[in-house]
Amino acid sequence: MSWVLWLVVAAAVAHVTEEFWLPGGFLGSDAA
Amino acid sequence: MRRNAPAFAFAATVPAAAVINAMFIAGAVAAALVGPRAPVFALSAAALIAANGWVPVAGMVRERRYLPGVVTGLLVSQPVAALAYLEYSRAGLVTGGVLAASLILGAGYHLVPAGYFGFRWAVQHAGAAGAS
Repeated sequence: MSWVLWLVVAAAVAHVTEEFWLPGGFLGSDAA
Repeated sequence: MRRNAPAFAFAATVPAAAVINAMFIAGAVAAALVGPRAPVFALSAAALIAANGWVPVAGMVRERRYLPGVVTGLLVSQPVAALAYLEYSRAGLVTGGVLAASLILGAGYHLVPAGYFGFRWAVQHAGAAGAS
């Protein structure tokens, strides 16, 4: 049952990664 | 964060982003550790990622261009959140009350960063008013 919540954790990490760390993101090379 | 809410860009500092996102991840981990023992809290993490996934989408609609977070917000967060609710529903853990409370709690977590930005905005405007 808890496995699906670890997917939620993985989704949260993926979202933060895209939003903040990839180029164009908050902390990426193209930070706005 | 800066592009999603340009009016609050002054407060979207690196430490603020780090703290807010660390809380985001830590909350999800806590929910995973608790699991079915507290279905409202567990599912509130799913509701949180679902609600949070729409934030950059709203910014993209407003600015009519890609904003970081759109891809995972739509293609990862939404299906994973739906899967979590589906799995808990299959286990008989989702009553009307659990559904409502977890959705409210998950959306309500956004009051934490909203409160921070509201506080910073109030401080800045109070300072500007005092200086004039």
